[in-house]
Amino acid sequence: MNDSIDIAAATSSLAEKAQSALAGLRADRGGEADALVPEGHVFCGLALGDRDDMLRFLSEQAVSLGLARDAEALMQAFLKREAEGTTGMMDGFAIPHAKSATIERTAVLIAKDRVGVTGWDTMDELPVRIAIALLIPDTAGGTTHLRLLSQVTEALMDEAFRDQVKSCDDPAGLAAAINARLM
Amino acid sequence: MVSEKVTLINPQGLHMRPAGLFASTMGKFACDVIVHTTDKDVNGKSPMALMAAGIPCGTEVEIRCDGADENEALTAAIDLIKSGLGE
Repeated sequence: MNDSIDIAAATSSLAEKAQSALAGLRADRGGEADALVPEGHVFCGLALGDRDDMLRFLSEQAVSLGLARDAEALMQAFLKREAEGTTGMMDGFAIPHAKSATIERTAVLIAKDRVGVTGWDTMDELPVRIAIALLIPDTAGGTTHLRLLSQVTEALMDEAFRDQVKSCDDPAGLAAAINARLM
Repeated sequence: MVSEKVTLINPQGLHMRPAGLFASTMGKFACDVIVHTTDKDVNGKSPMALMAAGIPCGTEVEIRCDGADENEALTAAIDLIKSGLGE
């Protein structure tokens, strides 16, 4: 009987902590209760040339979506981060990220190129086909960036998830697959 | 096997850049390197595994090195973390 009560209390405590962490992440995203990656943040079938083309595309889309105010400032933030060390990963994935005053709220954008872009250093030297871009406002808490990066990286370590993302070419399906893993 | 505890002082925790630096530094040693936290053991030579672990600033971790050059590896790991992993 006592064991049951202890387990119930522990489970309740864990659930509270998870809810608190989730609330923290949602608060960073302006208090929205919707999915982390809405369908409108996913862009497939792109025919971009190199890394900077992809980062510029993401910067411009971020402004169109109201996620950032200045595309050039966001582009410079992405480039500054790349200069510190590539965000190219493996198997065609990259996790570009920017923390900048021009970013309005925490957001994730996905860009998928048809063949892969050149000029992006990766661990396995494969071109980047899918960029999972993390946008973090200057005002976000210190752990927002870390939490998002941790979730994305953990997902990317799963070969089945990578295969799912690589094979899906419609924004709705891709958003659903990513949201299922990132929450 | 040798081990030592050390606290992470990077303001943003073990994100991509410091994780990559730690992994590439440890990659030069022959021994196994484990970063042990209260709830997980992470391969210290894998940048992805370190990033996925999402270890925040202020966390005390235990570095465990096991192999031929374990003492050198442990010294390098502890010095690197204490110096802030380049940040």
